[in-house]
Amino acid sequence: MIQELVFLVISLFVIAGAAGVVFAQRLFHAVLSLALCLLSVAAVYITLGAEFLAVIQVLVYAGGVVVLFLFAVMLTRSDLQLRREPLESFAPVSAVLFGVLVLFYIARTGFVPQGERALAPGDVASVGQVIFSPKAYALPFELVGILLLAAMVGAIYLARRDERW
Amino acid sequence: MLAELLPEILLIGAALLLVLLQGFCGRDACAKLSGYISLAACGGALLLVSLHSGAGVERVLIPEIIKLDAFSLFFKLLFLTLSFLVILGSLDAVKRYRMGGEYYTMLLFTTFGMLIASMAVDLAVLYIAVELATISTFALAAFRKDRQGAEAGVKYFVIGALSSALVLFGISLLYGIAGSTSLTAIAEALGSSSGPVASLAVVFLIAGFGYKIAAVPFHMWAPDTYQGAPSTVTAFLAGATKKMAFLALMRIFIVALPGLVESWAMLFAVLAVLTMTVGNLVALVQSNIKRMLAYSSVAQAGYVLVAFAVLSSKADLTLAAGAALLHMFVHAIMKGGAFLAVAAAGSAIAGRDISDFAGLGRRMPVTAFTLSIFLLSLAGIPFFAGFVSKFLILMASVSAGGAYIALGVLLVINSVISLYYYAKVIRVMYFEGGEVHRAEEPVMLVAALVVSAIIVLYVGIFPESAIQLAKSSAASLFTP
Amino acid sequence: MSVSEAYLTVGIFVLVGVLFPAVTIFVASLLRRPAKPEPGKYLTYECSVLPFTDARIQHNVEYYMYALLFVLFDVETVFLYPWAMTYRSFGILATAEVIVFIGILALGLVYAWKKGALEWMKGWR
Repeated sequence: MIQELVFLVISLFVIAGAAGVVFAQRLFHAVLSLALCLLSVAAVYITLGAEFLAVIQVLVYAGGVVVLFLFAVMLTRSDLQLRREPLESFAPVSAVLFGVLVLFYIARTGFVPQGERALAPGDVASVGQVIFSPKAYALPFELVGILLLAAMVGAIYLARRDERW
Repeated sequence: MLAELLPEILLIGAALLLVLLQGFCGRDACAKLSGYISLAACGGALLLVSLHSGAGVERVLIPEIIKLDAFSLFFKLLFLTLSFLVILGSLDAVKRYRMGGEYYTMLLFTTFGMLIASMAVDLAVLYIAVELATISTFALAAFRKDRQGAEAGVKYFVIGALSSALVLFGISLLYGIAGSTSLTAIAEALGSSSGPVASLAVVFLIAGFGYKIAAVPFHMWAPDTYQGAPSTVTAFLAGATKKMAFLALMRIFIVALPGLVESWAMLFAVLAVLTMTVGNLVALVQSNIKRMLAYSSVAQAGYVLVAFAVLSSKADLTLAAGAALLHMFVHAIMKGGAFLAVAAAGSAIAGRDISDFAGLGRRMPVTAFTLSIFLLSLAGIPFFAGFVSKFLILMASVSAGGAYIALGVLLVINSVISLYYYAKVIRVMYFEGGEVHRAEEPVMLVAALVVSAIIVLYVGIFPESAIQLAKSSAASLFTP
Repeated sequence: MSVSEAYLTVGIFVLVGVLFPAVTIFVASLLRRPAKPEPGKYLTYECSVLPFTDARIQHNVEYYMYALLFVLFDVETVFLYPWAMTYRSFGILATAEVIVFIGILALGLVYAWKKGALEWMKGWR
């Protein structure tokens, strides 16, 4: 009972944040709403026991990505205001259809794992056990490092002012 | 284990070295040096893999994480061959457009990611490897930093991020069902039961990878990206990174979801029909050669999807999967070669319209001749490699019988249509354009073109060993 | 005690953190002066000098570069957290893995440094 209540309150914040992103008149406000949305999602992760995900959500998304968004907004010209195009007629229709489809799937399943393995625990220590074990995800862990490096080099190359020298 | 991973270690070592190198030398000298280092690393890796591939090994390197089998070796051969050719050709292009040495760094990162993806038997590893390869290509697509390149890069990035999100959602649903990301564990957990969640996962995976292979209706980014990116990069995108998505599809669907074959093969059949037909019909009216080749790429992806659809039949599955593999390999070489030829033509011709290529046959004879070979092969003319692989797909669909024959017939009709726009380019190159003077052809690009053309002709004239290799590689997918 | 219960204190803290300014602002609104709008009152307060442009100017790409590097190293830090929780059970092995991981990203830092991505408004190399 209390769990459902907590979940409902948190999801209210998630939805409010998401709606803010979509409906905000100013880009800056949209980004701040995004921060609210991301933080609330972190709270959802906590209620599900996925501690590591929550940490990532707060540190990387609410902390880093939102800052990146803000700076990206600051890079744009200030006279660019959000212009609301009238919605294409098929947009609401397809949104409703998609919603019905998702509801249908949610109604059809209990989301019970079919396999014999239970889902892994999500607290930081257990995640660490899996990540650093050479029999499990040690290799993908290093791959993530390489992925970050590739992203860094690519982004710096592209964002750099290219004075032909 | 380290011995088997030597090609990967070589590549990533070179890539990391190049990252360091970019900071410590001047731009042009650095780019040149980086080119030679990456060429050597890629060549070395290619040599190591080709020495390995004959042995028919199957080694589990890390249980349920990565596995080296004939299937992954086949793709490693494909990726490394194409990377080698593209790097070879890029030596000229990078110099001409004064691009930075980061170009090669990104190419090596992509190749490394693709090699890991070829061995991955775990969805998380597969996803990270695919991401590594795609993230590096985002930068490559926008590498020239001009208007067109920026458009190409942004479109590619947005669509790439969207498709990755779809794939990830599909993966998370599978994980929710099975409690594991290992492909074999998912296959065990699912069995042949197809609950609503599993079918939703199938839809998400197909849509996500559908974007990456540019299947209709997920194809709209491809022409713009292929047109705006530097031609050498386009050769790499069309030739190699697209094949990585096919690889992931084959691994996931054949190994993890064999129980759901009825439903996914059906989807692939629908996609195949749409992709072949729309790709070819739109290619007919293109005036820009890169857009034309891009739509031809879309159509060719449809031919591979025909082979995927046949996997639900009772017929010889290794034939169908082998046909898909062979067509991917052949397409990588001939489409990569065609884009490299466009890059070579770029040294003398400013425009990229087909009409700009008038008289290329006399202006740049080697480029025009090899381009003709690639185009004829793409059309599926006998004695070229494209014919062999298409014929194999046709054979697979006919031997499956029933409605699969219709797919094969559609493939033949589409091939006939495609001949028109391929032949148009050849006609323009040889029979149009007035007096033209010889232009100097870029040496490295021509070398890459000649090597690709030799591969295309060799596979076309002596197809037995290539077919054998493709079939035995495909067979390793079906043995647990 | 499950993970979510352990975070109950955090939840209460957040709740107080949200409620405190909300209540304060509400109480302040009860005590406010009568509303008499006037354009001058809506100007941005800049230590008594009249503002002469919008605050939303177009910023330099350097800000973005810093944010970008910040996010990347942020992700790196996130992976150090589980390592800090588990390194005892793996001993030298996990430490070696983390050192390789940091080493790979350090290359990126060297690259950024050498390319002048960390220099402020200076001519880029």
